Amino acid sequence: MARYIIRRLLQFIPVTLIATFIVFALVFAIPGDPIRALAGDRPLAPHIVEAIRARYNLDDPLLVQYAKWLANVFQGDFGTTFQGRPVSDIIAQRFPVTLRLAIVAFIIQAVIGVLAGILAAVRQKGFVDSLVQVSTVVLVAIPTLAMAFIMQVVFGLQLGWFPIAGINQGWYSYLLPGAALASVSTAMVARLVRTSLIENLRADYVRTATAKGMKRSRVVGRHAMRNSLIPVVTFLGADLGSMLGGTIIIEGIFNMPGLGGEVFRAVRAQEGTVVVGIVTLFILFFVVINLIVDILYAYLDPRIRYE
Amino acid sequence: MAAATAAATLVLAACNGGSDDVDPDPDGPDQTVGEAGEGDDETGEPGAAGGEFTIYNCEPQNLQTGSSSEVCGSKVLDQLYSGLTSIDYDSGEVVGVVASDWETEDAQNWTFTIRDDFTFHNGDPVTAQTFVDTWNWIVNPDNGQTQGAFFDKIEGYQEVVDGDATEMSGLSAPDDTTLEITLSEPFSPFPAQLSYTAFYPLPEVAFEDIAAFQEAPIGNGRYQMDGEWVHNVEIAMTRYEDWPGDSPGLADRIVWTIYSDVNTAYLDVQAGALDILDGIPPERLATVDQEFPDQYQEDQTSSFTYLGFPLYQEEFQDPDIRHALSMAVDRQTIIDTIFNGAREPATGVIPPVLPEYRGDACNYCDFDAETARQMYEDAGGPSELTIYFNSGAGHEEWTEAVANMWQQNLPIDSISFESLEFAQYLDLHDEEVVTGPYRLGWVLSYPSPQYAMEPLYGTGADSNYARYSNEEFDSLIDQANAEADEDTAAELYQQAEDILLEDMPVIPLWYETRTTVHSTNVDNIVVDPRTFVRVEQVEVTSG
Repeated sequence: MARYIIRRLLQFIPVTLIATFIVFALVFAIPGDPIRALAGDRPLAPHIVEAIRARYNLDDPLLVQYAKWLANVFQGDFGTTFQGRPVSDIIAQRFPVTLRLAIVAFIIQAVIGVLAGILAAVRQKGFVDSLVQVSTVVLVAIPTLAMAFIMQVVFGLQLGWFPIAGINQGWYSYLLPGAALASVSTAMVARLVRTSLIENLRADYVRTATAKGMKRSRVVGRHAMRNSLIPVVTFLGADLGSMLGGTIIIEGIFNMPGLGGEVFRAVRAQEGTVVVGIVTLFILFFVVINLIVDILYAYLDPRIRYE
Repeated sequence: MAAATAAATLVLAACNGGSDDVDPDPDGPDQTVGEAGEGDDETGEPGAAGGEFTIYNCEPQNLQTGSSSEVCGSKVLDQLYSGLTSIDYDSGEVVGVVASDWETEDAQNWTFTIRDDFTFHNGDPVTAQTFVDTWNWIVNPDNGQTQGAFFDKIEGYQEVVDGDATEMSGLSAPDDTTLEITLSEPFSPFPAQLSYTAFYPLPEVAFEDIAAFQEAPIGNGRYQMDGEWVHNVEIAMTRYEDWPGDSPGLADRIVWTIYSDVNTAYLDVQAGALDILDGIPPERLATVDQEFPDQYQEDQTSSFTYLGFPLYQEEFQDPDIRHALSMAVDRQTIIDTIFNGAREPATGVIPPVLPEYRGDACNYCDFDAETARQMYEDAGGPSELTIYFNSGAGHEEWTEAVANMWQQNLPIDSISFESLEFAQYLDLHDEEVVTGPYRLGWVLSYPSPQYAMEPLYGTGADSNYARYSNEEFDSLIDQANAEADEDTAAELYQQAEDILLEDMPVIPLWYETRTTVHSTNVDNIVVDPRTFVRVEQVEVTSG
């Protein structure tokens, strides 16, 4: 197991190198001069453009820029923005916001999604089942952007239950945006759990367990659920990746100072070092989540073994 | 978020500016200033001091006076620093702040008397030498300050830029209270120019590490930083009690709350979580009078939108073609349908917020489809056009409306659009490969008709993307710049404007009017023509 984990973590090195290089190349490929865009409609004097370009190595070929960046990273220097702000500072300040948002959204979709799915499955064709079926269809149909705005106006402005924007009120500030971010996935999880649980409840081993006189709650909880969760865990793991994309929208609408907004800004400003720094973090995050998902498999399905 | 970022880089980044004179010209076209029952009717009466309020801001690119080119940073710096001069928005005159007085005989050699009672927020005194050091530092290309070109009129500027000197020869401080400045040519709007952000003084500590300094700038203004700049969250400031100027700030504390999306800020004002939002999102203009019946106001600004002509292209040589294209645009209809009335049709290139403005300056800015068609046919205007604009900044709708009007009113068969990211857009202009009318804007950094014209239309000037060149125009601007008498200078600038409007290197379209909403917690909201809320005059009415 330990060897497996180490091997997986070592894979992170080539993945990161390739991914950061691709991002670097993509930012490099955006036409136009980022320094020119710094000053808006009023053009910058050529000598100033030159001076700033030299400071940020913008005149070097792509490979040289990348090599310089990489060399600095190995010394713990993740570069600076065009205004001289260290990228590591930006990440340190903004990562906690995005992480909290992702945690809240993840908990909402895992807890509410799984519970709703179980309730619907055990009361199949009952009222709860219909309710879950209908509401999940509605939730999936509303895009995250629209959902965020609706929740903001209804729960923030009209009912006044939650702050509309910002992160002044601690974890409480994250509930509304977290729910908006999780809405589509929660519905998907509920449907996934329901389908998969219903299928497993019909399986032979469940019938056997019931025939042995085991309590219904134990049959569902211990036996059927364990198998039903395998596709759900896969989904939740993969979904964390797309959630990072969703934070760009949510952080914008709810005015949260997280990484999503910073990526957006940095791409527009063509600040390669900032984009690469944050993307590296996203990759790291993603790799770790996938590792956790794979380890969970072993727990859920004893047939899976790691060498 | 897209909208906010776009606004920050484009509309606002248009070289933010200061401009004086709030008084609308009584002869001008319909003014929309404050037609709703705004709460600032006690303007002029000193308000009660004290309290705290929040005001919208976008995330500044930086808080460096020498690099601040967009409003998000400039309006904060405007409170943290006091320059040699500033603009009295009631009279439209340049008044001294750190400078108590100034003299010149030829508009070229200037002597400023510096007050001895201004200090930085860390206690350091502000002396004549402070300005010399600050300005030399900003101009030095090694320091990478983007606004250095504002100093190009000072003698010795080029030597510093070329690396042949580290100090501009035109600057000297014989003693703490005397600042002597020699310009390379006469320039009468100089005191007005000195009110601009780039000319504010910096304390010694700023030069050590400007990137670290900007996290909590130490200035000499009415307000000082209360803690550090919390990126994307807020910038808080408190009144600096040792500020020796005439009208210290009223509120004890001001919090600039940073939003990435103006729509969110609008909801927050509705919910009472934000006190002031200037420049509401355009889609809210239609309903703002219902949502804020007593708490909104409209103010004129100098923010100018125009369509320029690439005069290096064959088909735009004939001025009649340019006149016809201008007359074929019904500005008021576009303003009403697309901007909900929040623009003022341009009748010249000197904006209505300046005293030199004339409502009847332009002969070819009124909508006249018939004359336009005739003129265009006679001049043999092109039957196909491409309109250029920068993408993602809300220019799609109105450029399309202009295109429709041109197709409707002129013998033009087809119009195509070319929209690019801003940086790339500027490259096209540099390379002179623009083939049709292009959109650009301009905001006055300091209130002078000189600044409304010379950088845009002077031969070889920085922002002269049309590559316009007219000796008579250049010479009138030079004469006006050298003219010490204000009235004569104004007349000369207007004559220069007349030449421009006759040559029409650009089609003047409109000036932005800015709608501001506020909560019941504050009163006396004054917006200056540079589009800044005069936060030091805001009165906190409760709490």
